[in-house]
Order: sequence, then C-alpha cells, then structure tokens
Amino acid sequence: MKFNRRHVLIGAGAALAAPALIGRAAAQQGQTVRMLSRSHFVPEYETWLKELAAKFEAETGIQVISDHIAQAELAVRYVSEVSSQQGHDIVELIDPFTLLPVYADQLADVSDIAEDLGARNGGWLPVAENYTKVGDTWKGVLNYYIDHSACYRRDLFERIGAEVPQTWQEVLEAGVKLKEIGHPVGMSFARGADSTANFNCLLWAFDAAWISPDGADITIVSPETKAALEFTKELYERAMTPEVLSWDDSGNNRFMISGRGSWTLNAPSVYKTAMAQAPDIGQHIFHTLPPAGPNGTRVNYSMVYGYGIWEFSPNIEASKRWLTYLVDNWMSSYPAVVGYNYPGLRDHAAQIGPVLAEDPHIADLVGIPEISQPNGYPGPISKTAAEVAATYVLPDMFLRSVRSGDADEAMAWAEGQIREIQARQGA
Amino acid sequence: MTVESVAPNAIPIPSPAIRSRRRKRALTGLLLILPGFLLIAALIAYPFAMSIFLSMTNAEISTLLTPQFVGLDNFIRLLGDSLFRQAVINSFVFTLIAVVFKIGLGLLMALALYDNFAGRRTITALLLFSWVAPIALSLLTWLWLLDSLYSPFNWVLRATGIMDFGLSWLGEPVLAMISIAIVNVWRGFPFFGLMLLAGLISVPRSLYEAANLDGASGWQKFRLITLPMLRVTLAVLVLYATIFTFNEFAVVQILTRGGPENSTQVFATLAFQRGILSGNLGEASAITLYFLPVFAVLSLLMLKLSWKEREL
Repeated sequence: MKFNRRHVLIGAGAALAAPALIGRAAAQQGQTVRMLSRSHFVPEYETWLKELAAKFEAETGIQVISDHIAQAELAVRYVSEVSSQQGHDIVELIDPFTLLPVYADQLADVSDIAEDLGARNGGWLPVAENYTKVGDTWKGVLNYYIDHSACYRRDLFERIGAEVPQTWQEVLEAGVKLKEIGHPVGMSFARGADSTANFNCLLWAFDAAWISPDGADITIVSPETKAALEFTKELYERAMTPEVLSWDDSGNNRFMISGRGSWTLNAPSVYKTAMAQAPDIGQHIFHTLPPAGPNGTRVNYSMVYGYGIWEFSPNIEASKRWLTYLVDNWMSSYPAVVGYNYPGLRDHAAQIGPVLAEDPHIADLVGIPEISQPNGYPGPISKTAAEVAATYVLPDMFLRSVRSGDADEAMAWAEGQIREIQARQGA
Repeated sequence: MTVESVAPNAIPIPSPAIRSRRRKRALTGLLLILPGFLLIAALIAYPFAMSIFLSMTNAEISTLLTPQFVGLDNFIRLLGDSLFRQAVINSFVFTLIAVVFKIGLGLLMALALYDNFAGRRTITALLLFSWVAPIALSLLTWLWLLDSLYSPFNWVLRATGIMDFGLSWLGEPVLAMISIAIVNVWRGFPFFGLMLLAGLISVPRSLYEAANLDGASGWQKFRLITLPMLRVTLAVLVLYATIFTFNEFAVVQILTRGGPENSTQVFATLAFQRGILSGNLGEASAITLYFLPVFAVLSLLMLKLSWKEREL
C-alpha cells in the first residue's frame, strides 16, 4: 500500500483526536473511579491495594484504577487537574507535600462518610480530625500516617551504661558520651521532610508552637521556643557533628546503617533497611517514641496521607463508596506495612498493638497513634501552615540559632517570616 | 508553455495556473508547519500567556477558575517581601558566577579543541558527557559527591590531614552557593564550548596566517583576531547563558531546595514553593515574570548588535 500526503494528514488527525474520544467514552461509562497516590515505598502495599480494588469491583461493579507516581510529582499534577477540571476522581493529600488546605475549595464535602466511618470504628484520632477537617466540614479521609520516632542503637547505649532515652535531656546526656566513643547522635537541619518533622517534634516537646490553638496568634517568640533553640544548640555542639547541617532526607538513614550513628529521629525504614542491607547493624537498631520535653510533653509529628475527592469529579458517590471500603478494610493492609502505616480510627489503633509486639525492635511504637499530630498543630490546618512548611521556616530558625548562637534573633526572624506568610495567605 | 505579456518596467502578472499552483504550495506549506506551530502554541505560547494573565490576578489553586484581576499588585507587593528580595540577590549572584565560568571554561575548551590532535574526538565526546547526561542522574551523583558523610572530596580532605571532618558543602550558606554554581557550570560549559568552537572554525585561517607572517604572538592573535571575530557569538551565548542560568530550577531544588536559610533561594525555587506547594499561583507567576522586561530588552539589544555585525 502506498502512503501519500493525504493518508499522513488523516492519520495525524486521527491520532490527535483518539485520546479525547477514548477519554470521553470512559467518562460516560461512570462506573470507573480513578485514584492518584504516591508510589508507596513498600511494594506489598500497592499489591494489597490492587487486590482490594478487584474485590471491591466484584462486590459493587465499580472499577477502581489506582495510579501511582512519585510523591514529588503530585503537587504539579494536582495543579493541572484543577486547572483543567478533569483527571482523577480521588487524590492523595500528603502532609507536608500536598497539604489538604491548599486544595480544600476544590474538594468535595465527605463529612457523611467520615462521620459514618468514625461512628462505626470508635471515632477518629486527633491527628485524623485535625488534618482532614476544615472548619466543620470533612474535606478528606485519613488513610494512614507515618511516625517520626526515636531510632537508637541499643548496643551502643548499653555500652555507655545509658537507658533507652525517653526525654530530650537523656538524648543529650547519652549523646555526649556516645560522641566521645565515635558514635554521635544526629538529625537533619537541612531542608526536607525530615527536618520539618524533627523541629516540629522538638518544638512541641518543649511546649512551644508557632501558632496558637485557635490559629489567631503567632506564638513563635516565647520562652519555650527559646529554651528549645538553646537546647538544640547544645545538643548539636556536644553530641552531633557538622554533617547534619546538610543531610538530605536519607542522610540519617545512611548515618545509622553505616554503623556510625547512635540515635536519630525517623520512621522504622531505618531499622528495616538495615536488616536487609546490614543485618549486623540492624539487629541492634530499635525504635521508641519520640523524646519528651522538660514537662513530659511528647508529640509525634506525623506525615499524613489522606484522600480527597475533587469537587469536579463526575463520580463522587462511587468514590465515596470506594474510600469507605478502603478505610473499613484498613487492618487487612497492616501486615504488609507494619511499623510504617498507622491508622486514623481508634478501633484500628487498638488492634495494631499485638502485631507490633511481634517485632521487639518496633514494639514500643504502639503508643504512636495517641500522640500523633499533623503540620500546623496546635492550630487548625491552614494554608499558612502549608507555606510555613513549604518554605522551611522552622528548620531554618533552628539552623540560624545553631549557627549564630542568637536564639532571640532566630525567633524574631521566624516570626517575621510567618507574619509575612500569614498576611499573604490571609489565614 | 505559458507566455506572459510584460510591459516595460512593470511587475509581471503570473498566469492563473501559476497562481493556483502557488496557492496550493502555500497551503501545503501551511499544513506541514501546522503541527509544529500547534505544539509551540500549546507548550510555550499558551503557558506563557497564561502566566502573564495569572501574574495579574489573585489566583490560588482553590480559586483557579475564578481569579480576580489585581493589576500589578503582585509585583508591587513582592518589593516588600524579604524572601523575594533575597531571591533576587541570590539569583543575580548565582547567574553572574555561573555565566562567567561557563563562558570562560567554554572558551578554553574551544581553544583547546581548535587544533587537530590525537584523541581530539574522544576528548570532545567526554567533555560533552556532562551536558548530555540525564539531569536526574547527574544530580544524584552530585548529591553523593557533596554528601557530608560520604563525599569523596571530604575523604581527600580528611585523608590528607587538611581537615578533621571535611566541608559541609550544602550546609553552609556560602559553600552551598558555590556548590550549586559548580554543578551548573559543570553541566553547562561543554555546550558553550561547542558553540564557541563552531564560531572559531568559521574564522578564516588566512587571518592567522597573515598574523603569523607579521610575527604576532599567541595573545595578540587571540586579542586582535579571535575575540573580535567571536564577538557576536559570544554576545548571543552570554545572553543565552544568562537567561537559562537565571531560570535554573533542577540543580537548586534537588541539591538545596533553596537552603540553608534561603541562601540559595532563587526565582524558580521560590516560585515553586509559593505556587505549587503553597497554592499562590498569581504571586508565583509574578515572581517568574519579574525580570522578563529586562531580559526582553537585553535580547533585543543583543539581536540588534548581531544584525549590525552581520551587515558590516
């Protein structure tokens, strides 16, 4: 067969039109729900999700297509979906990368399913309600969150005669001795999810916060913040080495797995990776709750993963049915993600203890759900909180204080930054 | 054969058959460039126009479909924004360092590769590797090279006893700026070297032969022949390098995310943080377009200069 110019032009036209026609046909079908999430770092979780979706389709006739892309690419994708008012039906809203308030006005009200799930499962934990409820309206449903627990080398702590550190003061006291024997403690000061989590945890433990509970006042300049900053400077100088200033989010993982580090803050990926790559180190790595502050306050900064439904979705009701099914079946995913994912519902939280207890390295983490909070705590989740996290104000404040030694100047700088953000965001 | 009657000094009128053929050819030409034109319109012109529109609105992700026109408010408000002012300074410092070294090293590379020698092609290919390597891959390698724990540079510093610990390449403000500039230069200079080499090859060899007969030194030949002959190429490349370096995003975002303490915060990373992560699309668009008029004027001046040189 010979091809002439006309064939080429007709072919090109057909190729351009095909995706639009196929997309239209799929939309008209109406029984397909498309969900976009990050690629989970535990592949078995995605396998579980696929199997659950198949089971859901068999029971309801609603097909669920679950797309997964890199976490860092979600935000850009969401902007394009909102601007074109088409794309997926359900989207994953991650604290602090794609923080829910940024998209809240584009999300459907899911109060009916959130309240139903809560009523049937002992209620939602504070972390879930604080992250997904905007005012009185539920704009999302929490799927899971990840802890930022204390990760330590038990053998090294035993070698210096120290107990498992339960407070920041104990971390400092042990850290000084551990540094002397060539095993410093460490946590990232550089920009990233880890440093955001580190310094929220530390600030909260010292009863400090950048925002008041009602979200009205900026409270970063306070004696509590100053105490946290001065403590951190001492911890850095006496128990850490300068490498922490430029760690990326995997820096502390490498630090622990290399055998050099003795303590850090991280999810149990450190222990699990060490067991796979360096079992001689991994067997000594244990996780416990994040340290408490001078008054015993202990809060876990949670990286939260929730789902919302676009308001423009033509499949809101089918999407709600799937999200309800997904959260109702949460416990069946747990064996695949034990130690990584934590539940938002109280009844589920009550069931994770026995599973966690099977592994003594992470058994202490059973208390994580009750002490977990999302970004912006103790204030309401807001766009200001999103920008404070996106521009790394808290890690920069701590870094500034460590570098200059002037806690007052660092607090004043942070206050200025947050006020500028609040003035811009208006909330 | 078509015969046309042509009056003296009059423009010949093509016959209807020729006019029809020309119309068909013009139409075919238009159809053939249409896909390319549509691609450019969709991928460059539309986003650019959209960006200008958004910069004059209060658009947020949540109100993207119903933004309000605010004129130049975003641009005016940015003047009072401390982080924006820092990003302006950082962007100019970063661009100045990177452009000077990219053009300088590119010129050295072009001069070194001008004469034929054994292994010239292999060396050229190796030098181009940094430019053609996928950016994600090369930046991951740089992350490792600049890692505070595993950096080979730090290993050398420690092994030679120069330092006890090494340098915190991405953790100290000045070092972080130097580090991102080094990576940007490493990636960019081979391209400029190649462009300058093409310019050098077009310089008539007879000029150098004449200079040799006159007993000119190497420096005199460079100053009096090479540089003047490369002036237009250099001007265009400086403009090109300035615009692209000013808009650098990947290197900064992957290596420092604008830190530490905003010391490497540049326009592109600030716009990303404000627009994509925080949802303020209007303001982010204003950040990206702030220096557009300056670069537009610079571009026109450079183009005018190159046309003038060509006429001479």
